[in-house]
Amino acid sequence: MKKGLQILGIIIGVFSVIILIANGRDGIATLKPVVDLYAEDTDITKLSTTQAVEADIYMSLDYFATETTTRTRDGNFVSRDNDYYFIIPAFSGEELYFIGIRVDDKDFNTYSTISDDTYNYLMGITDNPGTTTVSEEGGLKKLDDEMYQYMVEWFQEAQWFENESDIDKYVLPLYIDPYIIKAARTLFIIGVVGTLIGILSAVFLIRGNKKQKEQAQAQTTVTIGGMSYPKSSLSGVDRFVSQKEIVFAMQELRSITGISAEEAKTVIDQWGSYYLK
Amino acid sequence: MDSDLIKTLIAVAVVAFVVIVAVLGLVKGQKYMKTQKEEGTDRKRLMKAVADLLGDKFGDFTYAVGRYTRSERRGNTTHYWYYSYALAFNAADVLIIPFVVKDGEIRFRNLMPVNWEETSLKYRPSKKDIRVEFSIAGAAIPMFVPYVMKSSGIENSSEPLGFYQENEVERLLTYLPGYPAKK
Repeated sequence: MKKGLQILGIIIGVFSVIILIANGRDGIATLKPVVDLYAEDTDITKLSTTQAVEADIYMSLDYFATETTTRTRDGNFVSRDNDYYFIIPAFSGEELYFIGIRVDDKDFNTYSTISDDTYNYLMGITDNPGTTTVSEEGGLKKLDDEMYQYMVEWFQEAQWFENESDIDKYVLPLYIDPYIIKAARTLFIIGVVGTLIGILSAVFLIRGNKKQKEQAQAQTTVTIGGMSYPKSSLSGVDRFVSQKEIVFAMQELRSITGISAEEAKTVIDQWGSYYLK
Repeated sequence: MDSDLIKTLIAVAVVAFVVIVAVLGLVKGQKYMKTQKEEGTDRKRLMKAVADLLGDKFGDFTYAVGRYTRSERRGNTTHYWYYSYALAFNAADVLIIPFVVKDGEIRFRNLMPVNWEETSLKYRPSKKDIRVEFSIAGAAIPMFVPYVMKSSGIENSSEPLGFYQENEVERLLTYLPGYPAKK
C-alpha cells in the first residue's frame, strides 16, 4: 500500500512537471504583482517578459499578423482557429511606444471596432478615441523574430514614423498574451506542489527499497509462531510462494514448523513481511 | 520490380513461414502422440520415476497426470505459470506430485498426501477431462485431469509428456464421490 502511494506520488510528479513545462513561465509571472499597463507610473521599457499585466484596451491600430491553427483527424478537416495580433499603445512616461496583443476569433470584431474608432480619431474625424474598451489580463511576452518583422513591416507600409530608425526605438518586440491570471497561478502552484510530491515520493521509494534490501541481507532467521528458523531452511517455501503454489508453500512450511493449515495460510498470505528479500 | 510488389512478397513470405511452422508443429505433435499411443514411452518414464519415489507403495495406487495454468497481470504484461502434476490415487487416498521435465529428466518438486480432515474437494467431469480442485484453509490447487494429455514432444514446453489415460481417469471418476473430504 505504502509503495503504491509512493508510485502514485511519482506519477503525480511526472504530470506536474508536464504542467510546469507548459505553464511555468506564465505561472512565474502570476506570482508577481500584476501591473496596470496604463497606470501613470508604468514604464513599458522597464517591464520584463515574466510580468503579468492588466489593461483596459481603448485604442489599437490594425492587426499586423494572423496565426491560423487547423486541426485535422485522419486527414479530414476538423476545425480552424485564428489568432490576430493587433497593435496597441504603451507608455514610458509621456513617450508613446507600440506593442502587440494576441486576440482570438471571438474578440476580433471588438478589436476591429476599436481600431476603426482609433483611426477615425487619429484622422480627426471624431473628437475622442471611442467608447469601446476591452479589459484584458495576461502575460507580457517576447514576440519572435518573424512576428516582430511583420509588425515592423506594418509600420513601414503605413509610413507611421518620419524616420525609419524610430521604428526600432518605439516599436517593441513585445505582446500581451491574454490568460486568466488566477487560473494560471493556481495551475502553477499545483504544478510546483505536485512536482515536490513526486520528488519526495521518489526519494522515499529509493530509500525504502535500499533499506529493505539492507534488512533482507541482514536477516538470518525468520520468526514464525514465536519460534525462530534459519532463513535458508525456508528457501523452499519461498520458491513455492514465488511460483504462486500456495498449497505447496503451506505444506512445506508446516513440515518445518508444525503449525496448522490456517496458521500456515496466514503466514503465506503475508510472506513478504516474514521472509525479507 | 516495384517496391509495392516487394513488400507484398515479403508479407506473403512471412505469413507462409508462420503457417508452415505451425503446420509442421501440429504434424510433429500428432506424430509424437501416435508414438505415445502405440508405445507409451512417456507413461513408462513417469511410472519408473514415481516407482523410484514411492518405493513399495507404488503398487498401492493408480496414476494419472493433470495440469493447471495460472496467469497474473502485472501492468501491461501477463505472466503465465504452467504446472504438471502426477496424481496417485486409490479408493481412500490421493497423492499430488508436481513435476517438471528438465534436461531429459523427470524431476518431482513435491509429494503431498491429501489430508482429508483439512481438505475440501470439488470436481466437475466433462467430455475431455475432470476438473478437480483441492482446497486447504482457503488455498486451492485447481487442475484438469484429461483423458488424453496432449504433448508436442518438446520437453521443456508447458505439457512435456503425452498420455492416453482414459482408463485411469474413469477410475478416478469412480473414486471421487467416495473421498471423505471436508464439506
